[in-house]
Amino acid sequence: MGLSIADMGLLLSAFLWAYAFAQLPGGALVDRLGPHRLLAAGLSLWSIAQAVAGFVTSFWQFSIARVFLGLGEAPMFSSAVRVVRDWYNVRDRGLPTGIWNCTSSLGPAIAPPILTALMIGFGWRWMFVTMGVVGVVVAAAWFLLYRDPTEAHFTDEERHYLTEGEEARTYTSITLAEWLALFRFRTTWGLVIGFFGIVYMGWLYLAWLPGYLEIQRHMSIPKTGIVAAIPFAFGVVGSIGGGWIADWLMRRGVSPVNSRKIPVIIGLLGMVVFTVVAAETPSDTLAVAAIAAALMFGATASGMSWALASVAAPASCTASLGAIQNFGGYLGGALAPTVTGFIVQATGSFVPALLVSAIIGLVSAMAYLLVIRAAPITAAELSLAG
Amino acid sequence: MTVPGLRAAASRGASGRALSLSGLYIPTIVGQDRFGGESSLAATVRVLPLPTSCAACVMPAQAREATLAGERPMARPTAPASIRRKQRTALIMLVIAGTLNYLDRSTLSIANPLIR
Repeated sequence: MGLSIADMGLLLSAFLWAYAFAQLPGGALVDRLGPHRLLAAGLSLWSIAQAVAGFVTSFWQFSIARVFLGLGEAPMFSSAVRVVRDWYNVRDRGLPTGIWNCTSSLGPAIAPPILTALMIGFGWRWMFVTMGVVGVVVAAAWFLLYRDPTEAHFTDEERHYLTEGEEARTYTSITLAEWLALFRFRTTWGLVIGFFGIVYMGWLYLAWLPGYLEIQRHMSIPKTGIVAAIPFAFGVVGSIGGGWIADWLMRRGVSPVNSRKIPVIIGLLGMVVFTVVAAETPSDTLAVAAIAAALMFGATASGMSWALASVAAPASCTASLGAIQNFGGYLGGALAPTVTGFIVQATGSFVPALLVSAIIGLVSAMAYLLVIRAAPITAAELSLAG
Repeated sequence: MTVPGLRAAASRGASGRALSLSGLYIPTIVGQDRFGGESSLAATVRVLPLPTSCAACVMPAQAREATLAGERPMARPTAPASIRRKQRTALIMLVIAGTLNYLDRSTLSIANPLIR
């Protein structure tokens, strides 16, 4: 298509910025309309945008397709956190959150072999079209198989399971005043600042791990392709393990908020420690092992931060709080590749870039520890603040 | 001296035995019902020694904060079979959609050299 490297950079960031800024309205819409309709619409939109990208003939057409991909994907994780909130008891939400969040490690790990195979078999245009068609089928399956609680009838036993152990649920739609009132709570700001650091560190590896292995560790391109996938596989373990630990802590008597905060803080501190190890060690093997450990702890932190959003606010604004948190996260995600690139260019080494990310991670851990309060935001508080 | 209507709830207790009445029944709002978890934010009954002033009836702020935060051991809840089916379906669909989400955002990076 005659695109320059700078054009490709713009196309990559077109998705990222659309995704980040669509978080705020996206989360509120999930809370108002429910994940059943919103996720089906989001999946359809991003899949159609993906399929259309297979037919583009210019930079601008591609940019528009990428923007719509970002808009469509935005409600995915706020819908997921709302689904878990709606269908799981407060003591059971850690593990399912860890399971759906593990896709953020599983996806990057399996994307290269699957997409490369499609591209080799059918060409890059049909790779986009195929992925789009698969997405439309998944959207239809979601719409047919999933139901929001407002569309279901519950027995007393079912209602007891879903509501026992926390504030009584009211399936009312969030109002603009309540959404704005979320920003008056320190818990919201703690989640925004904390998730900024988690996603910053995660995106540093997502965007720069192959470059780090080639430039800093002098690995060949084929070896990099294989080695770069290993740490993300450990992320799957970290995410699911973190969820299990959160549920275990809660059954041991730790509060809903603290049972999530503890794995998040441990996860972030682990990520910081192993990032410093990766930066300082002269051994390539130890560096890869440390990055794998860092991504495993990072997945624990990100998964349990989503789980934190599912217990830190009333059900009616769960997706909104999750989306606000994710907005803060993706500001970090958008900055990480750029800041890292500048530091590497200025110093000729990844070591200062990794140490900067470790400091950001440490600040985020402090935000979770000190800013987020132990008691969840109640509906009454939200109403008063609004 | 008791609060009418609360005697039955108090008498039920954790062990099902009648509680001895050595003071006032004080209803307090505490996070969860520790007598069996029938409702959230349930009005739970505490038996306190007969206070000398009304100030003694008020739960200390620190204790109230701790109970609202929910710091207490809890048994694992059992989801009814119908709910478990819905959970399984929802979770499988979320994993498929989440993986697709990350595959789709990776397409441009993977196809980068060929597209240019």
